[in-house]
Amino acid sequence: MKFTADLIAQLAPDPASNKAGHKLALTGQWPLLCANDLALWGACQGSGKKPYQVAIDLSILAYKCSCPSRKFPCKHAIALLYLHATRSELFTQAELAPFVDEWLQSRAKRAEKASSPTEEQESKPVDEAAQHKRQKAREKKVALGVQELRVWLKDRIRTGTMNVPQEQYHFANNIIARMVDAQANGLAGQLKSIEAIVYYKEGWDRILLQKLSKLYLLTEAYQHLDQLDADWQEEVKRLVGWAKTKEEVLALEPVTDRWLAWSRTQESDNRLTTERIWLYGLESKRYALLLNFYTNTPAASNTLSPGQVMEARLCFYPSLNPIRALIKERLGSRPLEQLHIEAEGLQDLQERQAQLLVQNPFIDRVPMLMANLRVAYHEGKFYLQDHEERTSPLHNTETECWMMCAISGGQAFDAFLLKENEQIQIHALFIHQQLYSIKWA
Amino acid sequence: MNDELIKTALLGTDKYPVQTLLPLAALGNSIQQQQEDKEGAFLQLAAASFTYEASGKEYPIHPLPSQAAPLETLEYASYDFNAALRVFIKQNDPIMLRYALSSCAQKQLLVAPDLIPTLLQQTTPYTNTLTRAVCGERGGWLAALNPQWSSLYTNAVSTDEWETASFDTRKELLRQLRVNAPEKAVALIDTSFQQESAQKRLELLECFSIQPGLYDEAFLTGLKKDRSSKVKELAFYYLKYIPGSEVHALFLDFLAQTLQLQEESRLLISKKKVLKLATNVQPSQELLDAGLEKISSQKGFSDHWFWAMQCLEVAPPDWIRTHYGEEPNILLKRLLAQPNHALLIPHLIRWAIHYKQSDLALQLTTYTTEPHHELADTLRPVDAVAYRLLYLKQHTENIVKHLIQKEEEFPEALAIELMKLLKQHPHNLTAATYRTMALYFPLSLKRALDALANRIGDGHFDLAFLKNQVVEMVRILELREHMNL
Repeated sequence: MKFTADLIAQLAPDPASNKAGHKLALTGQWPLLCANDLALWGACQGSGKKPYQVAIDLSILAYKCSCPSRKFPCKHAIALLYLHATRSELFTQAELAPFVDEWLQSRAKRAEKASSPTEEQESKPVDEAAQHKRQKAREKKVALGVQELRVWLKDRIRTGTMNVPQEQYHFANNIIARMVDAQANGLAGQLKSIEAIVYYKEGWDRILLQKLSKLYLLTEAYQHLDQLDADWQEEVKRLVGWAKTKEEVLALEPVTDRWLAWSRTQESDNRLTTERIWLYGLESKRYALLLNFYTNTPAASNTLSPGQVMEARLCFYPSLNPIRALIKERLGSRPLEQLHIEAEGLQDLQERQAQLLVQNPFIDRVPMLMANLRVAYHEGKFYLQDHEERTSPLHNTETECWMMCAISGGQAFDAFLLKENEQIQIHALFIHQQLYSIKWA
Repeated sequence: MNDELIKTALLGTDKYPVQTLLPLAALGNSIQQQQEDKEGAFLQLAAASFTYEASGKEYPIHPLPSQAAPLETLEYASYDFNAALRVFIKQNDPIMLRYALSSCAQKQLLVAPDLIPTLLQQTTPYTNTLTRAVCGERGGWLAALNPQWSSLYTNAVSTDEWETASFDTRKELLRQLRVNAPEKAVALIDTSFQQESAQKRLELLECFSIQPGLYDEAFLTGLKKDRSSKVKELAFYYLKYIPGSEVHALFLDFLAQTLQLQEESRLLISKKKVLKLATNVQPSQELLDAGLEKISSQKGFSDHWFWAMQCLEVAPPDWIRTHYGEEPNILLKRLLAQPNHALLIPHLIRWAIHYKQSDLALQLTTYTTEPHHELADTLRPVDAVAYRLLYLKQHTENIVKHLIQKEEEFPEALAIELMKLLKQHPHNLTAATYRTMALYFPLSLKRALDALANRIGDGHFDLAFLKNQVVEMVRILELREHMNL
């Protein structure tokens, strides 16, 4: 993987660390610099007697340093990256140093341990009665919450939604809190998305009614759960808020593929940041969504860069249309070589959405990789046009649209797009053998 | 169908009950029979209707005008350069950004297309020329599409734009017009010029120092009636240097009459040319009105010498050769041999600088007591280095700042001597100057600076200061190196 100043700056936790790391990359302060296919490592002389031992796992970009910094990567790791980027000739090709070997092995052991239950866990008896009791209690809470939500939804429809824009900041506060109390976090999340509608833009009334009606349909399905088949019961419960644990998901059969990272977005809500990373399996042609939640700096595990291909085993959360996934094991990374694309027109997107809706009417997002698209600017608005001249408004921000115009120069390109709530946004485009991620936070 | 549903939702089911809706009428009836109330029925019907609509949507065929960007004629800068540029933009580092764009423009390279919208958005009238240079045809194409950027790519300044812009913007628009189409500048300001205040008229007139030509003569001559003496002076200052203008001819005619090379016999055998000053010639009123100063403020400077030197300042070297039959540097030697040569020096320096005569400038360097930056810039590079080294110790910050302003790489010899000096006197430069100097420091000295940083131990405050500055310089030199232009 080629490290550039731009990439290293993206990996740095903040600009100050990037600058400090760059300054540290002075040869005189590195009495040891080594590299091989698996890792980079070195010793950086600080103010103390003993130099700091720094190592970087190249397969998944993990960092280790003996300095007391809590940042990942720390300035020493950043400096090591800069040194390798600019003066790779200074690095000695060598077998892994003992401290690096030990670290990589312990990481591998931890990863293995996390993916399979320990003997202790396996031998621990499960108190089934207590589990059953807790489940029943929760079912009761959720049922009451669902009932309350249905009353709230009907009240809104009875009185009308015309005044919602004026009340947007507080019209759903109470019911959201009630859903959280009722342990129906899925319903709370959907209500929050209603709060996030942009009420000053044309079409808010349509989006609002779509979301309210789908929410009602979900509560209707939940109230008639016993009439649904097993798959549907799981799906409805999942949407309402019954989630599988991380351990349960990681115990499922993984999908091994080369996963291309094409989009990363972050949304902040109070002190919680939700990060969404979209992946595309180059062989399985599957889409995967990684969801991460942070309160402060992003975790060290997510060190993907746009266009990076990660060889990995992913476990998908069970669903009628599995999208959300967890990384079970990273096997390596490599740059993108070629993309094979089958879908060519907006009608292909439409057909895909129709197929998904038949399977699951609660689908609200459709990712798709599509070839031969253009962005056009006409009468003050941006449009996406396919090779048949079928056209759709493009809902990326103006800044993103101009960037796409600049990159493509009016020519056709391939794109990863996401249709969400009937609005199409391009997340990444591929032109002249290069991937440009339009949405990469 | 969904429009009716939305209307019901907005007004409320109490006020606007749901109508019978084809094609889902059968489904709607079935739902109504099963639901406990009309609100529940409405919400279920709405969910079904939106799903039905989403499943059967067709994207319309709507041909749009073709919009392909023209092909570029220049090459793109390297991957590494563009990666570095993204970092500078992200970190909001205006100094490195400007340096990077300047370097890119000088090498006639283009930035990566994805950076163009950001650069166009951030550009100001002051950075416009640079931005245009690095954004290429793609930038022009984008500017033609986006009304916000369209004014960045036009050489024509509309009347509306001129009349509504702020003064600083108008000044910059005028300056750019002088660079790109100087002859159009007069037409732009001719009508509104006299409506400006004296100070603003002066500032606008300063833009005419860019590419003055005969196309400016009528406008500048008209300014002899200007109410401000400073504006008049500046106008005539430009006129006297414009070859072919009436004022320029007046000055040269007077010089020819005043300063003469006469042949004198020596020992009845040989003849020698001697420089003579005609003291019986008086300047015409027209010449005085055109800016010839009558009396010098320097004590002991005779009027005739003063007038002659003012006229010599505007004499092109070719005219000197033609009129006097000898090279300008020979004439200079004659003038420097005069008893009052010290009073002539400032005029001779201006003459050498204006006509970029390095031979004349070299002769004059021995007569300066402080670094004269413009004179040094007129010298050949080797001579300029030697000249600056004479004053480096006493005028370090002054010289370095001037070199930075030129936006050219420092000569290596000068840079080496500078670092030797700074090792002894690190505080001769401020931290900000060290940083900016690094942008123009020779890349060939990076390893030497690196070694210096490693050799400087901790200890005295001065050493710590120097070490910090050198480390920062090395970091910037590395950034420049990685830009790989």
